[in-house]
Amino acid sequence: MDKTKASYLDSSDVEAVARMVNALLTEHWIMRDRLAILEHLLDEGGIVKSRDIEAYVPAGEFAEALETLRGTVFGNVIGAPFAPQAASVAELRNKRP
Amino acid sequence: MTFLTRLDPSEQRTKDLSLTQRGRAGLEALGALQAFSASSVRQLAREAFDADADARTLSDEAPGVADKSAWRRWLGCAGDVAGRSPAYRVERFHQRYVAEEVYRRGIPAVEERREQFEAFFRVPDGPTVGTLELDPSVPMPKYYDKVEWHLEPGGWDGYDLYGALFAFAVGPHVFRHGGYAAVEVGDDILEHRAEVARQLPKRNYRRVYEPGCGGFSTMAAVHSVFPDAELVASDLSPLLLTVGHIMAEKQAVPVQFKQRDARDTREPDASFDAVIMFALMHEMPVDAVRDTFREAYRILEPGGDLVISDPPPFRAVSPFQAVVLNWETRHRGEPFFTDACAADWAAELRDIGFVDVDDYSLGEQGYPWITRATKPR
Repeated sequence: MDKTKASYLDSSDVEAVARMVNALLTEHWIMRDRLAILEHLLDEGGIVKSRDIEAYVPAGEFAEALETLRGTVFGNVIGAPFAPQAASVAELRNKRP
Repeated sequence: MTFLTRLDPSEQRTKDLSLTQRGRAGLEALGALQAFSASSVRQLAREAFDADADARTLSDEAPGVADKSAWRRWLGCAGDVAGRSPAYRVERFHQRYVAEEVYRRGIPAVEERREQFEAFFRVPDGPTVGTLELDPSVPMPKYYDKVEWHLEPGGWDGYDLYGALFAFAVGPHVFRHGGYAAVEVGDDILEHRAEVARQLPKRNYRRVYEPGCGGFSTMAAVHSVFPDAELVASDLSPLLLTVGHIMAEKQAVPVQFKQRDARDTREPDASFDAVIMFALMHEMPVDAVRDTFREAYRILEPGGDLVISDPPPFRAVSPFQAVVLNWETRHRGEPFFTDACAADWAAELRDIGFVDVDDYSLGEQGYPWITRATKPR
Protein backbone atom coordinates (compact mmCIF):
# COMPACT_ATOMS: atom_id res chain seq x y z
CA MET A 1 0.00 0.00 0.00
CA ASP A 2 1.27 3.42 -0.95
CA LYS A 3 1.28 5.27 2.39
CA THR A 4 1.25 8.67 0.71
CA LYS A 5 -2.11 7.82 -0.88
CA ALA A 6 -3.79 6.32 2.16
CA SER A 7 -7.48 7.24 2.38
CA TYR A 8 -9.49 7.14 5.58
CA LEU A 9 -12.89 8.48 4.57
CA ASP A 10 -15.33 7.44 1.89
CA SER A 11 -18.34 9.07 0.33
CA SER A 12 -20.62 7.91 3.12
CA ASP A 13 -18.70 10.21 5.49
CA VAL A 14 -19.87 13.33 3.66
CA GLU A 15 -22.86 13.55 6.01
CA ALA A 16 -20.56 13.63 9.04
CA VAL A 17 -18.41 16.30 7.44
CA ALA A 18 -21.49 18.40 6.66
CA ARG A 19 -22.57 18.14 10.30
CA MET A 20 -19.12 19.28 11.33
CA VAL A 21 -19.38 22.28 9.00
CA ASN A 22 -22.72 23.26 10.50
CA ALA A 23 -21.45 22.82 14.04
CA LEU A 24 -18.33 24.82 13.24
CA LEU A 25 -20.37 27.57 11.61
CA THR A 26 -22.59 27.77 14.68
CA GLU A 27 -19.57 27.98 16.97
CA HIS A 28 -18.12 30.68 14.74
CA TRP A 29 -21.34 32.66 14.94
CA ILE A 30 -21.46 32.41 18.73
CA MET A 31 -18.00 33.98 18.86
CA ARG A 32 -18.90 36.59 16.22
CA ASP A 33 -22.04 37.52 18.16
CA ARG A 34 -20.03 37.81 21.36
CA LEU A 35 -17.50 40.06 19.67
CA ALA A 36 -20.28 42.26 18.28
CA ILE A 37 -21.83 42.65 21.73
CA LEU A 38 -18.46 43.37 23.28
CA GLU A 39 -17.78 46.09 20.70
CA HIS A 40 -21.26 47.49 21.19
CA LEU A 41 -20.93 47.66 24.97
CA LEU A 42 -17.45 49.19 24.71
CA ASP A 43 -18.80 51.83 22.35
CA GLU A 44 -21.39 52.67 24.98
CA GLY A 45 -18.51 53.35 27.36
CA GLY A 46 -17.18 51.89 30.57
CA ILE A 47 -15.55 48.64 31.50
CA VAL A 48 -17.32 45.56 30.22
CA LYS A 49 -17.54 42.49 32.41
CA SER A 50 -18.32 38.97 31.33
CA ARG A 51 -21.67 39.07 33.15
CA ASP A 52 -22.65 42.19 31.17
CA ILE A 53 -22.29 40.19 27.95
CA GLU A 54 -24.24 37.26 29.38
CA ALA A 55 -27.08 39.52 30.49
CA TYR A 56 -27.21 41.61 27.32
CA VAL A 57 -30.31 41.24 25.13
CA PRO A 58 -29.76 42.78 21.68
CA ALA A 59 -32.45 45.30 20.83
CA GLY A 60 -33.38 47.95 18.29
CA GLU A 61 -30.98 48.89 15.51
CA PHE A 62 -28.18 46.83 16.99
CA ALA A 63 -30.36 43.67 16.94
CA GLU A 64 -31.32 44.38 13.34
CA ALA A 65 -27.69 44.90 12.30
CA LEU A 66 -26.74 41.67 14.07
CA GLU A 67 -29.49 39.79 12.24
CA THR A 68 -28.35 41.17 8.90
CA LEU A 69 -24.76 40.17 9.62
CA ARG A 70 -25.92 36.70 10.68
CA GLY A 71 -27.86 36.30 7.43
CA THR A 72 -24.79 37.31 5.44
CA VAL A 73 -22.45 34.95 7.28
CA PHE A 74 -24.80 31.99 6.93
CA GLY A 75 -25.60 32.86 3.33
CA ASN A 76 -21.90 32.96 2.50
CA VAL A 77 -21.18 29.58 4.07
CA ILE A 78 -24.36 27.63 3.33
CA GLY A 79 -24.73 29.22 -0.07
CA ALA A 80 -21.11 28.60 -1.05
CA PRO A 81 -21.78 25.40 -3.03
CA PHE A 82 -24.39 27.23 -5.10
CA ALA A 83 -22.61 30.54 -5.61
CA PRO A 84 -21.61 31.28 -9.18
CA GLN A 85 -17.99 30.43 -9.94
CA ALA A 86 -17.53 33.75 -11.72
CA ALA A 87 -19.05 37.09 -10.85
CA SER A 88 -18.93 40.48 -12.56
CA VAL A 89 -17.20 43.48 -11.03
CA ALA A 90 -20.61 45.11 -10.56
CA GLU A 91 -21.88 42.09 -8.61
CA LEU A 92 -18.76 41.94 -6.49
CA ARG A 93 -18.89 45.65 -5.71
CA ASN A 94 -22.40 45.22 -4.31
CA LYS A 95 -21.51 42.16 -2.27
CA ARG A 96 -20.92 42.52 1.43
CA PRO A 97 -17.32 41.55 2.25
CA MET B 1 -46.66 23.50 22.71
CA THR B 2 -47.21 27.09 23.72
CA PHE B 3 -44.96 29.13 21.45
CA LEU B 4 -43.73 32.66 21.66
CA THR B 5 -42.16 33.85 18.43
CA ARG B 6 -41.70 37.54 19.21
CA LEU B 7 -40.10 38.71 22.41
CA ASP B 8 -39.94 42.43 23.00
CA PRO B 9 -36.34 43.18 24.08
CA SER B 10 -37.52 46.27 25.95
CA GLU B 11 -39.79 44.21 28.24
CA GLN B 12 -38.41 43.28 31.62
CA ARG B 13 -39.74 39.74 31.19
CA THR B 14 -37.53 39.25 28.13
CA LYS B 15 -34.47 40.29 30.13
CA ASP B 16 -35.45 38.19 33.14
CA LEU B 17 -36.00 35.10 30.99
CA SER B 18 -33.08 35.50 28.59
CA LEU B 19 -30.52 32.84 27.76
CA THR B 20 -26.77 33.15 28.13
CA GLN B 21 -25.02 34.75 25.17
CA ARG B 22 -23.84 31.32 24.02
CA GLY B 23 -27.28 29.78 24.39
CA ARG B 24 -29.03 32.59 22.53
CA ALA B 25 -26.48 32.97 19.73
CA GLY B 26 -26.31 29.21 19.16
CA LEU B 27 -30.07 29.02 18.63
CA GLU B 28 -30.10 32.17 16.50
CA ALA B 29 -27.49 30.46 14.33
CA LEU B 30 -29.93 27.58 13.77
CA GLY B 31 -32.64 30.08 12.87
CA ALA B 32 -30.37 31.74 10.32
CA LEU B 33 -29.30 28.38 8.89
CA GLN B 34 -32.89 27.24 8.45
CA ALA B 35 -34.11 30.56 7.07
CA PHE B 36 -31.38 30.79 4.42
CA SER B 37 -31.63 27.15 3.47
CA ALA B 38 -35.44 27.09 3.29
CA SER B 39 -35.54 30.23 1.16
CA SER B 40 -32.51 30.55 -1.14
CA VAL B 41 -31.41 26.91 -1.35
CA ARG B 42 -34.97 25.57 -1.54
CA GLN B 43 -35.73 27.99 -4.36
CA LEU B 44 -32.81 26.53 -6.35
CA ALA B 45 -34.18 23.06 -5.64
CA ARG B 46 -37.64 24.13 -6.78
CA GLU B 47 -36.25 25.57 -10.02
CA ALA B 48 -34.24 22.41 -10.70
CA PHE B 49 -37.37 20.32 -10.08
CA ASP B 50 -39.51 22.42 -12.40
CA ALA B 51 -36.85 22.25 -15.13
CA ASP B 52 -36.70 18.45 -15.02
CA ALA B 53 -38.54 16.89 -17.94
CA ASP B 54 -39.93 14.11 -15.74
CA ALA B 55 -41.48 16.66 -13.37
CA ARG B 56 -43.64 18.08 -16.13
CA THR B 57 -45.66 14.91 -16.40
CA LEU B 58 -46.13 14.59 -12.65
CA SER B 59 -48.82 17.26 -12.45
CA ASP B 60 -50.91 15.42 -15.04
CA GLU B 61 -50.46 12.11 -13.27
CA ALA B 62 -51.32 13.30 -9.72
CA PRO B 63 -53.99 11.13 -8.08
CA GLY B 64 -57.25 13.05 -7.97
CA VAL B 65 -58.81 11.28 -5.04
CA ALA B 66 -57.90 10.55 -1.43
CA ASP B 67 -56.19 7.30 -2.41
CA LYS B 68 -53.30 6.76 -0.03
CA SER B 69 -51.58 4.06 -2.08
CA ALA B 70 -51.80 6.08 -5.29
CA TRP B 71 -50.34 9.11 -3.56
CA ARG B 72 -47.48 7.05 -2.12
CA ARG B 73 -46.53 5.76 -5.58
CA TRP B 74 -46.75 9.22 -7.09
CA LEU B 75 -44.73 10.76 -4.24
CA GLY B 76 -42.04 8.13 -4.76
CA CYS B 77 -41.63 9.27 -8.37
CA ALA B 78 -41.74 12.96 -7.42
CA GLY B 79 -39.21 12.40 -4.64
CA ASP B 80 -36.82 10.74 -7.08
CA VAL B 81 -37.00 13.79 -9.34
CA ALA B 82 -36.41 16.20 -6.43
CA GLY B 83 -33.50 14.09 -5.18
CA ARG B 84 -31.59 14.65 -8.43
CA SER B 85 -30.93 18.23 -7.34
CA PRO B 86 -27.93 18.90 -5.05
CA ALA B 87 -29.82 21.92 -3.73
CA TYR B 88 -32.71 19.69 -2.64
CA ARG B 89 -30.40 17.24 -0.89
CA VAL B 90 -28.51 20.01 0.89
CA GLU B 91 -31.70 21.81 1.92
CA ARG B 92 -33.21 18.63 3.33
CA PHE B 93 -29.98 17.91 5.20
CA HIS B 94 -30.17 21.33 6.85
CA GLN B 95 -33.83 20.80 7.71
CA ARG B 96 -33.01 17.60 9.53
CA TYR B 97 -29.93 19.09 11.15
CA VAL B 98 -31.88 22.01 12.61
CA ALA B 99 -34.77 19.73 13.65
CA GLU B 100 -32.35 17.68 15.76
CA GLU B 101 -30.18 20.53 16.92
CA VAL B 102 -32.98 22.67 18.40
CA TYR B 103 -33.06 20.10 21.22
CA ARG B 104 -29.34 19.36 21.38
CA ARG B 105 -28.61 23.06 21.75
CA GLY B 106 -31.91 24.20 23.20
CA ILE B 107 -32.08 21.93 26.24
CA PRO B 108 -28.55 22.78 27.45
CA ALA B 109 -29.32 26.47 26.84
CA VAL B 110 -32.43 26.24 29.03
CA GLU B 111 -30.54 24.24 31.65
CA GLU B 112 -28.03 27.08 32.02
CA ARG B 113 -30.95 29.18 33.27
CA ARG B 114 -33.00 26.43 34.95
CA GLU B 115 -33.66 28.39 38.12
CA GLN B 116 -35.29 31.34 36.36
CA PHE B 117 -37.42 29.10 34.14
CA GLU B 118 -38.52 26.86 37.02
CA ALA B 119 -39.67 29.96 38.87
CA PHE B 120 -41.59 31.21 35.83
CA PHE B 121 -43.23 27.87 34.98
CA ARG B 122 -44.66 27.23 38.43
CA VAL B 123 -48.37 26.42 38.62
CA PRO B 124 -50.01 29.37 40.42
CA ASP B 125 -51.10 28.45 43.93
CA GLY B 126 -53.37 31.47 44.43
CA PRO B 127 -56.68 32.35 42.80
CA THR B 128 -56.75 31.77 39.05
CA VAL B 129 -58.95 32.99 36.21
CA GLY B 130 -58.91 29.59 34.49
CA THR B 131 -58.66 25.95 35.52
CA LEU B 132 -56.38 22.97 34.99
CA GLU B 133 -57.90 19.50 35.23
CA LEU B 134 -55.42 16.65 34.84
CA ASP B 135 -56.78 13.12 34.74
CA PRO B 136 -54.19 10.34 34.77
CA SER B 137 -56.95 7.81 34.07
CA VAL B 138 -57.30 9.06 30.48
CA PRO B 139 -55.81 6.22 28.40
CA MET B 140 -52.96 7.11 26.06
CA PRO B 141 -53.82 5.85 22.55
CA LYS B 142 -51.37 3.40 21.00
CA TYR B 143 -50.76 5.73 18.05
CA TYR B 144 -49.69 8.48 20.46
CA ASP B 145 -47.81 6.80 23.25
CA LYS B 146 -43.99 6.83 23.12
CA VAL B 147 -43.82 8.79 19.84
CA GLU B 148 -41.09 11.42 19.82
CA TRP B 149 -43.16 13.98 17.93
CA HIS B 150 -41.07 16.42 15.93
CA LEU B 151 -37.98 14.46 17.14
CA GLU B 152 -38.57 15.81 20.66
CA PRO B 153 -36.52 13.61 23.01
CA GLY B 154 -38.94 11.71 25.25
CA GLY B 155 -42.02 13.04 23.43
CA TRP B 156 -44.23 15.93 24.53
CA ASP B 157 -43.73 15.15 28.21
CA GLY B 158 -40.09 14.10 28.01
CA TYR B 159 -38.47 17.20 29.53
CA ASP B 160 -39.93 19.27 32.36
CA LEU B 161 -38.81 22.59 30.83
CA TYR B 162 -40.11 22.07 27.29
CA GLY B 163 -42.38 25.03 28.07
CA ALA B 164 -39.34 27.26 28.49
CA LEU B 165 -37.67 25.76 25.45
CA PHE B 166 -40.51 26.65 23.09
CA ALA B 167 -41.55 29.95 24.66
CA PHE B 168 -38.17 31.54 25.36
CA ALA B 169 -35.54 29.63 23.36
CA VAL B 170 -36.50 27.79 20.20
CA GLY B 171 -39.67 29.81 19.53
CA PRO B 172 -38.21 33.32 19.43
CA HIS B 173 -34.76 32.38 18.12
CA VAL B 174 -35.45 29.63 15.55
CA PHE B 175 -39.15 29.25 14.70
CA ARG B 176 -39.60 33.01 14.52
CA HIS B 177 -38.18 32.91 10.98
CA GLY B 178 -40.47 30.14 9.68
CA GLY B 179 -38.98 27.81 7.06
CA TYR B 180 -39.88 24.40 8.50
CA ALA B 181 -42.47 21.75 7.62
CA ALA B 182 -45.39 23.49 5.85
CA VAL B 183 -44.45 26.90 7.27
CA GLU B 184 -42.74 29.19 4.77
CA VAL B 185 -39.83 31.51 5.61
CA GLY B 186 -41.21 34.78 6.96
CA ASP B 187 -44.43 33.19 8.23
CA ASP B 188 -45.28 33.39 11.90
CA ILE B 189 -47.22 30.48 13.39
CA LEU B 190 -48.76 32.72 16.04
CA GLU B 191 -50.11 35.09 13.41
CA HIS B 192 -51.40 32.04 11.55
CA ARG B 193 -53.47 31.11 14.57
CA ALA B 194 -55.14 34.51 14.71
CA GLU B 195 -55.88 34.30 10.97
CA VAL B 196 -57.39 30.87 11.47
CA ALA B 197 -59.58 32.07 14.35
CA ARG B 198 -60.85 34.83 12.08
CA GLN B 199 -62.08 32.18 9.63
CA LEU B 200 -64.90 31.35 12.04
CA PRO B 201 -67.81 32.89 10.14
CA LYS B 202 -69.81 34.58 12.91
CA ARG B 203 -68.94 37.81 14.70
CA ASN B 204 -69.45 36.39 18.17
CA TYR B 205 -69.22 33.03 19.87
CA ARG B 206 -70.40 32.02 23.29
CA ARG B 207 -68.34 28.86 23.95
CA VAL B 208 -65.32 27.66 21.93
CA TYR B 209 -63.70 24.22 22.30
CA GLU B 210 -60.23 23.20 21.11
CA PRO B 211 -59.29 19.50 21.16
CA GLY B 212 -55.56 18.67 20.97
CA CYS B 213 -54.74 22.21 22.01
CA GLY B 214 -51.03 21.60 22.68
CA GLY B 215 -51.05 24.56 25.06
CA PHE B 216 -52.37 28.11 25.06
CA SER B 217 -51.30 29.48 21.66
CA THR B 218 -54.52 28.85 19.72
CA MET B 219 -56.78 29.85 22.58
CA ALA B 220 -54.78 33.08 22.98
CA ALA B 221 -55.54 33.81 19.33
CA VAL B 222 -59.22 32.91 19.75
CA HIS B 223 -59.40 35.19 22.79
CA SER B 224 -57.88 38.06 20.79
CA VAL B 225 -60.59 37.66 18.13
CA PHE B 226 -63.54 36.71 20.41
CA PRO B 227 -62.69 38.20 23.81
CA ASP B 228 -66.09 37.36 25.32
CA ALA B 229 -66.11 33.67 24.42
CA GLU B 230 -65.75 31.03 27.12
CA LEU B 231 -62.75 28.85 26.22
CA VAL B 232 -62.28 25.13 26.87
CA ALA B 233 -59.17 23.33 25.62
CA SER B 234 -58.06 19.73 25.95
CA ASP B 235 -55.04 17.58 25.22
CA LEU B 236 -53.55 14.22 26.17
CA SER B 237 -50.29 15.66 27.46
CA PRO B 238 -50.15 16.80 31.10
CA LEU B 239 -47.10 18.97 30.41
CA LEU B 240 -48.64 20.74 27.42
CA LEU B 241 -51.78 21.45 29.44
CA THR B 242 -49.86 22.63 32.49
CA VAL B 243 -47.68 24.99 30.44
CA GLY B 244 -50.79 26.23 28.62
CA HIS B 245 -52.51 26.91 31.94
CA ILE B 246 -49.49 28.80 33.31
CA MET B 247 -49.15 30.93 30.18
CA ALA B 248 -52.88 31.69 30.10
CA GLU B 249 -52.80 32.74 33.75
CA LYS B 250 -49.81 35.02 33.11
CA GLN B 251 -51.97 36.83 30.57
CA ALA B 252 -55.10 36.61 32.72
CA VAL B 253 -57.05 34.81 29.99
CA PRO B 254 -59.62 32.40 31.47
CA VAL B 255 -59.26 28.99 29.83
CA GLN B 256 -60.46 25.63 31.16
CA PHE B 257 -57.68 23.16 30.35
CA LYS B 258 -58.68 19.49 30.59
CA GLN B 259 -56.78 16.26 30.01
CA ARG B 260 -58.96 14.46 27.47
CA ASP B 261 -58.75 12.38 24.32
CA ALA B 262 -60.01 14.47 21.40
CA ARG B 263 -62.33 11.58 20.51
CA ASP B 264 -63.94 11.54 23.93
CA THR B 265 -64.16 15.04 25.37
CA ARG B 266 -66.83 14.14 27.98
CA GLU B 267 -68.53 17.44 27.19
CA PRO B 268 -72.35 17.47 26.95
CA ASP B 269 -74.09 17.19 23.59
CA ALA B 270 -74.61 20.51 21.76
CA SER B 271 -72.72 22.51 24.37
CA PHE B 272 -70.42 24.65 22.14
CA ASP B 273 -71.12 27.00 19.28
CA ALA B 274 -67.59 26.70 17.82
CA VAL B 275 -64.81 24.11 17.67
CA ILE B 276 -61.33 24.97 16.43
CA MET B 277 -58.50 22.56 15.58
CA PHE B 278 -55.03 23.82 14.77
CA ALA B 279 -52.29 21.51 13.47
CA LEU B 280 -53.97 18.49 15.02
CA MET B 281 -55.14 16.31 12.13
CA HIS B 282 -51.66 15.40 10.91
CA GLU B 283 -50.74 14.14 14.39
CA MET B 284 -53.39 11.39 14.27
CA PRO B 285 -54.21 8.37 12.12
CA VAL B 286 -57.08 9.08 9.72
CA ASP B 287 -59.46 6.82 11.70
CA ALA B 288 -58.77 8.87 14.85
CA VAL B 289 -59.39 12.07 12.88
CA ARG B 290 -62.79 10.76 11.78
CA ASP B 291 -63.68 9.97 15.39
CA THR B 292 -62.51 13.45 16.42
CA PHE B 293 -64.74 15.01 13.76
CA ARG B 294 -67.70 12.95 15.02
CA GLU B 295 -67.01 14.12 18.56
CA ALA B 296 -66.86 17.74 17.40
CA TYR B 297 -70.18 17.23 15.64
CA ARG B 298 -71.70 15.84 18.84
CA ILE B 299 -70.60 18.68 21.13
CA LEU B 300 -71.50 21.41 18.63
CA GLU B 301 -74.95 22.88 18.93
CA PRO B 302 -77.08 23.03 15.75
CA GLY B 303 -75.72 25.89 13.65
CA GLY B 304 -72.34 25.66 15.40
CA ASP B 305 -69.16 26.12 13.38
CA LEU B 306 -66.00 24.07 12.99
CA VAL B 307 -62.75 25.49 11.65
CA ILE B 308 -59.67 23.37 11.05
CA SER B 309 -56.16 24.38 10.04
CA ASP B 310 -53.63 21.76 9.02
CA PRO B 311 -50.99 21.24 6.33
CA PRO B 312 -52.54 21.29 2.86
CA PRO B 313 -53.63 18.24 0.90
CA PHE B 314 -51.22 17.10 -1.80
CA ARG B 315 -53.90 17.83 -4.40
CA ALA B 316 -53.74 21.55 -3.54
CA VAL B 317 -50.00 22.12 -3.86
CA SER B 318 -47.31 21.86 -6.54
CA PRO B 319 -45.56 18.49 -7.00
CA PHE B 320 -42.38 19.96 -5.49
CA GLN B 321 -44.24 21.20 -2.42
CA ALA B 322 -45.88 17.78 -2.09
CA VAL B 323 -42.40 16.23 -1.90
CA VAL B 324 -41.40 18.72 0.79
CA LEU B 325 -44.51 17.89 2.84
CA ASN B 326 -44.13 14.14 2.37
CA TRP B 327 -40.54 14.35 3.68
CA GLU B 328 -41.87 15.20 7.15
CA THR B 329 -43.23 11.71 7.73
CA ARG B 330 -39.90 9.89 7.71
CA HIS B 331 -37.62 12.65 8.84
CA ARG B 332 -39.26 14.83 11.51
CA GLY B 333 -41.14 12.46 13.79
CA GLU B 334 -44.45 12.93 11.94
CA PRO B 335 -45.80 9.40 11.45
CA PHE B 336 -49.17 10.52 10.05
CA PHE B 337 -48.19 13.52 7.93
CA THR B 338 -48.40 11.78 4.55
CA ASP B 339 -51.74 10.13 5.32
CA ALA B 340 -53.16 13.47 6.44
CA CYS B 341 -52.02 15.23 3.28
CA ALA B 342 -53.51 12.43 1.16
CA ALA B 343 -56.87 12.71 2.95
CA ASP B 344 -59.81 14.90 2.04
CA TRP B 345 -61.09 16.39 5.29
CA ALA B 346 -63.90 18.27 3.57
CA ALA B 347 -65.32 15.02 2.19
CA GLU B 348 -64.97 13.34 5.57
CA LEU B 349 -66.91 16.18 7.24
CA ARG B 350 -69.72 15.97 4.69
CA ASP B 351 -69.96 12.21 5.30
CA ILE B 352 -70.46 12.89 9.00
CA GLY B 353 -73.27 15.33 8.33
CA PHE B 354 -71.65 18.75 8.36
CA VAL B 355 -72.93 21.28 5.83
CA ASP B 356 -71.56 24.42 4.20
CA VAL B 357 -68.17 22.73 4.02
CA ASP B 358 -65.42 24.57 2.21
CA ASP B 359 -61.63 24.45 2.11
CA TYR B 360 -59.01 26.90 0.94
CA SER B 361 -55.51 28.20 1.57
CA LEU B 362 -54.48 31.36 3.39
CA GLY B 363 -50.87 31.21 2.15
CA GLU B 364 -49.02 30.97 -1.15
CA GLN B 365 -47.78 27.40 -0.69
CA GLY B 366 -51.11 26.08 0.55
CA TYR B 367 -50.53 26.77 4.23
CA PRO B 368 -52.37 27.43 6.47
CA TRP B 369 -54.98 25.17 4.83
CA ILE B 370 -58.46 25.88 6.15
CA THR B 371 -61.43 23.55 6.25
CA ARG B 372 -64.69 24.99 7.56
CA ALA B 373 -68.00 23.35 8.26
CA THR B 374 -71.27 23.92 10.09
CA LYS B 375 -73.54 21.55 11.98
CA PRO B 376 -77.00 21.79 10.38
CA ARG B 377 -79.79 23.42 12.35
